[in-house]
Amino acid sequence: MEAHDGEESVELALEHRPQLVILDFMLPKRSGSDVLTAIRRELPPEETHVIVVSAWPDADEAAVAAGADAFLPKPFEPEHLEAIVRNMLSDA
Amino acid sequence: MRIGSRSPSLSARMIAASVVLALLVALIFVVLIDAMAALEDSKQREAHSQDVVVETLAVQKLVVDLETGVRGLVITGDERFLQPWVMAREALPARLAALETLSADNPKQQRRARALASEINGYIKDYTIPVVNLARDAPAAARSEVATEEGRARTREIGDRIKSFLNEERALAAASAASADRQSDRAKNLAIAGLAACAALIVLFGVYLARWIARPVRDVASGASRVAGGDFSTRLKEGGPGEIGELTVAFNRMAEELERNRSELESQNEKLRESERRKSDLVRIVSHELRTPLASVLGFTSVLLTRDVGPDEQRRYLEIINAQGRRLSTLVNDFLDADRLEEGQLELSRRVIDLGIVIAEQVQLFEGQSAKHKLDAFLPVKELRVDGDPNRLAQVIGNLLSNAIKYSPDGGTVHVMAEQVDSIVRVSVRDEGIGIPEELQEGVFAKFFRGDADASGIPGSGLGLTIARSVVEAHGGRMNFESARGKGSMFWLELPVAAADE
Repeated sequence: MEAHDGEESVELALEHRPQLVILDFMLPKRSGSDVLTAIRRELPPEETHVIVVSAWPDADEAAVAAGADAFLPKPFEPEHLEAIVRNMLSDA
Repeated sequence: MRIGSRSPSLSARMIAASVVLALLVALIFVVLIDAMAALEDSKQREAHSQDVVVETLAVQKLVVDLETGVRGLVITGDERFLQPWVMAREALPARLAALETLSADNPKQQRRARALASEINGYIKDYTIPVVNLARDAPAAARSEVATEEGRARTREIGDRIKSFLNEERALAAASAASADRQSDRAKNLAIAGLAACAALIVLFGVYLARWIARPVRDVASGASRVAGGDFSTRLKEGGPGEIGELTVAFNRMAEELERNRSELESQNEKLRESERRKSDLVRIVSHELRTPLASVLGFTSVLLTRDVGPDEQRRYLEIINAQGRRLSTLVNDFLDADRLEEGQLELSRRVIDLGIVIAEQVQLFEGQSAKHKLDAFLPVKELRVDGDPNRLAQVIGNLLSNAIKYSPDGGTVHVMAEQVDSIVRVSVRDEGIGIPEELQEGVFAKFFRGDADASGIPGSGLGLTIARSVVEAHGGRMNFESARGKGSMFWLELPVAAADE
């Protein structure tokens, strides 16, 4: 499923409790880091993996601090994202 | 007993040991409590560092929000993307102030926090606000490379500052944790050493108790049971710490006292036995000595009563009975005298007499008694003045004469001599009889001494010489004898001459 802005992504995630969230830090209405903090308040890392993607490579530390499992700087190869996702889900 | 250098008492030693132990335990506790406080302190510092780190990360997140908001607006031209930037601008001042306050404990970190705050404020004012305005007025110009490059450089600068701030804070936390570790290690070592010392002290104390208290007490106990078993010669090695030393000394005193008491009791017992023996001797002698004359008396009286005898014979029998009766009377008197002597009650009725006359009378009395014996008296013409009891002194002389005759069974001459030498009257009676063997001479004056007399069938009570010597000594004189077996004896006595004016 897909969310169109920060607020919607938080609502969707808390409603469906997905195994994986791919989150861009650059979002309308609410910042990605805020979204991540709100999700992590309800969903522990064992339940939901969060991959943060951002065009801003310096955001990595803030992403991990807020509870991201992985950080992927934009632009990235789709295979790269796929490898990370596979790796995560096989661990679970 | 040691006086002056007395060792400290046991209770003092016990108290001293307990105090040392208590001090040691207290020291261990102080060290442990100190270490615990240090650990607590370091934990607090760590928690504080954690707070600082959390706050810093929150600041970092807000900076990311600023950047992503601005960039979102620039790229999309959509005002909704700017929302995070608006919210971060509102939240940042409070967060930065909180960070500055939190890092107040470390001036260096506080300076860094201030620099970080001014850098972020500069970034907001000098870069994000112009870019936002530009994006609203001329979106194309805002998307130019120059604008984004400057933003990237500025956020990188902020990111570096945040990283170094975080690193410093983590280093501080690690240092404090390491110091806490060191302190706790030191405390652990100290506590282990202290506990080992405690254990060693307790073991030492135990050894001391066993060696210096339990063992001496056991010695005293076994000594006491030996004494209880009757071995009063038991003695303990005196000494030992404090009360133990006193105990051994007191024990030895008690044993000595008991031993002395027992030996006193034994000697008293011995005396009692001796007197018992003498009594039975007395009974034996009395019955033996009385039986012989009594048998004569009874025998001759029954002859006189049952048979007709002529007047001459009658007279002879009566003389015998009379003589035996007198012998009985003498014996009884002797026994009474001996008894009085024993009780120290010999009474003398003294006056100045001429001892020569007393001797002459006795010699006359004994002269006719035996045909076999000749009495040869050598007396001075001058009177021998003596202050004495004539009857008692006559008894003494008579005893000596009687002995001289009795112990010369084969007859012979009895020499009686009296003389005054200076202020002393000396009387001697010498016979030529059996004499007294050397081994028996020592006991001659003892009560009931009979020498070989019993075996030789010589009658007597064994009291005569005892009484005689006591009488002489009661007059202030002395009496002794010289004798050799088979050569006869010579008994002599010496009395002081009576004072001239009487």
